[in-house]
Parts: sequence; C-alpha cells; structure tokens
Amino acid sequence: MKRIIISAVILVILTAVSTAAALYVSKVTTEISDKIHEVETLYSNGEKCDEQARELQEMWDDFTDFTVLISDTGSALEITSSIAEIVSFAQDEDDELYASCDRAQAQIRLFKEMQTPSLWKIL
Amino acid sequence: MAIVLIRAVILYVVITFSLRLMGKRQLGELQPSELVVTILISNIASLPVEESGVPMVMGIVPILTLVCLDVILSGVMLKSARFRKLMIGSPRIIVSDGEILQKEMKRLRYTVDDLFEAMRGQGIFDITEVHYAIVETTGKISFLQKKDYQPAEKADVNAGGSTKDPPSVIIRDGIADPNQLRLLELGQKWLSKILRENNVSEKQVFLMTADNGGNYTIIRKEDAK
Repeated sequence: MKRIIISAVILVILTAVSTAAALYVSKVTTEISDKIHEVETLYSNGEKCDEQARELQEMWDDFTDFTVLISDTGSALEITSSIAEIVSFAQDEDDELYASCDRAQAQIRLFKEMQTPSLWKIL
Repeated sequence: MAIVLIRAVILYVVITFSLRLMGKRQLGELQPSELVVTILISNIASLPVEESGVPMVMGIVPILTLVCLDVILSGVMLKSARFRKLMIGSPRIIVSDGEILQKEMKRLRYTVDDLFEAMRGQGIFDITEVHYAIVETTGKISFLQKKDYQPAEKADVNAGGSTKDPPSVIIRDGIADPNQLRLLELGQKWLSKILRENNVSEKQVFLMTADNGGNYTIIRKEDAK
C-alpha cells in the first residue's frame, strides 16, 4: 500500500510539474515574442530599438537555463543565435533585422508548440 | 565527459529506486506489463547518457511515470480479479488428466517441443507420467505428476517429524549478530558458553550458524587454527 501511495504522489507531482512547465513556457515565449514584435515595430517606425533588443536578449538569457531542462539544446541554440543577430542588427540599424525577427518569431513559436501537448503532437 | 558521468550516476540512482519501488517480484518472474516496463526503462535510460543534448529530465520523467503506473496497476490488480485477468491473463491447462489438450496448445502457440523442454527441466522424461500441465501467466509450465510417479514423502510412510527452522548465521567474520540471537531466543549467555566450550573467541570465528534448537556449527578463521 505504501508503494502505491508513493507512486500516486510521484505521478501527481510529475503531472503538476509538467503542467506548470508548459504554462511557464507558454507565458515566457509569449512575452519574448511580444518583445521581438516591439523591436521590429520600433525599427520600422525609424526609432532606436537597441535598448529593447538588449532587454530581449536578457529575457531570453534568463529563460535559457530553464529551456535546457525541458528541451534538447539544439532548438535553444538556434533561438539564442537569432536573438544575438537581432541585437547586432538593431545596433547597426541594418534592415536584416526584419529577417532575423521573423526567424526568431518562427523559432519561438515552434519551441512553444513543441512544449504544449496536443493530440497531433502526441500521435 | 563530466556531464555524462554525473548523468549516469543520477540515472543509476533513479533506476535503482524505481526497481525498488516495483518490488522484489519484479526481479524474479516478469509479468507481461513488467517486462514491457523493464525493456522501456533500459532504452529510455540510455538516451540522456548517450546524448548530452537531451535533457536528463527526458529520461527521469518517463521512467518514473512508467514505474509509478506499473505499481498503481499492480495495486488495482490486487483488488480486482477481472482487471488482473485482463492485464496478465490466467493460467491455462494444456495437459488435463494425462490427456494433451491440443487445441489449447495451438491457441497458446506452444509446440510439443516446448512442452517436452519444460518437462525435462523439471526432471520428467515421459509424457505418460504427467497428470496435469499448466501454463502460468509468466509463460512457465508447471507439472503435476501422476501419483505413481511422484516421489515418496515422509507423510506417505508416516515418518513425519516436527518442522525445524533453518539455521541462521549468528557470527560472520568475527562479529556476532545480536538480532539473530534474539530471533532464535538463544541469547548472549548461550553464545558465550558455546564459545568457551569450543575454546574459541568470537573474533576467531569465521562463520557460526545455529538453529532454534541450539544446534550449531562453528568454522574457525584459517589464521586462528
């Protein structure tokens, strides 16, 4: 009986942690996605956006430690690289920034989707 | 390199804990669901050790989930006979009253060779000696020999005596086990007396066994002879 109770407790903890992780990923990736959008909008309006780009990089850096816990390092490295490009292009005021923002948005969206359970992904 | 080492140690602890959680039965005869869990665990555990890019959580979470589910299902199987039958099946008779049930053997995909191999494993070499043969849920075949071929037991010749407990180890490598002495209801005084009688100290004893009747065996250390 003790084993069954321990197993049930472990299963409940795992379910709770998995749900919390999925919700946390969803929340943070939405914030990062909004920040990328903000950088892109500021740049398209001809305003300085290097401050926002640095904030974006800090947000992603804070999140990176968590990503290596839940996903393979490959996908996190791709996003890190795209965000570094955004920071660089924002400082140089280079139009390549649009492409980098689009790429980062797509990578973030994919990362978020991979962590959100759905029937199709389970199958 | 260091990451792989640490991961291997952590996974070793997790798997050992998991198998401990599954219970001793797991290490003996495997039921179908237990076999599945064991195979899956070995495969899942190897992934994070081999691939440093794969998070270790990806190994630990499925292992714990599988083991916990298995333990919970075993608990449900204890309570519900119907569920137990659904999960592990039920024993099947393939030889009944000395007659081979060929249809049942075909249904279980057991060949005559399988039957004879299992018979030989239990020291039976003639099918006519078998009264009953039952395929257990683990796949093992149990046999009941016909009365004429069963070995005689003490009860058959009214030579039964009282059942004695097997001897326990009370000194190993010069160190006495007070728990065993207490369980055998012999006590430290009895041990000291026996050691005195045999002119040996506790430290000179390599192995000493005793039963609850006070019968004992002493093996001295080689350097104490």
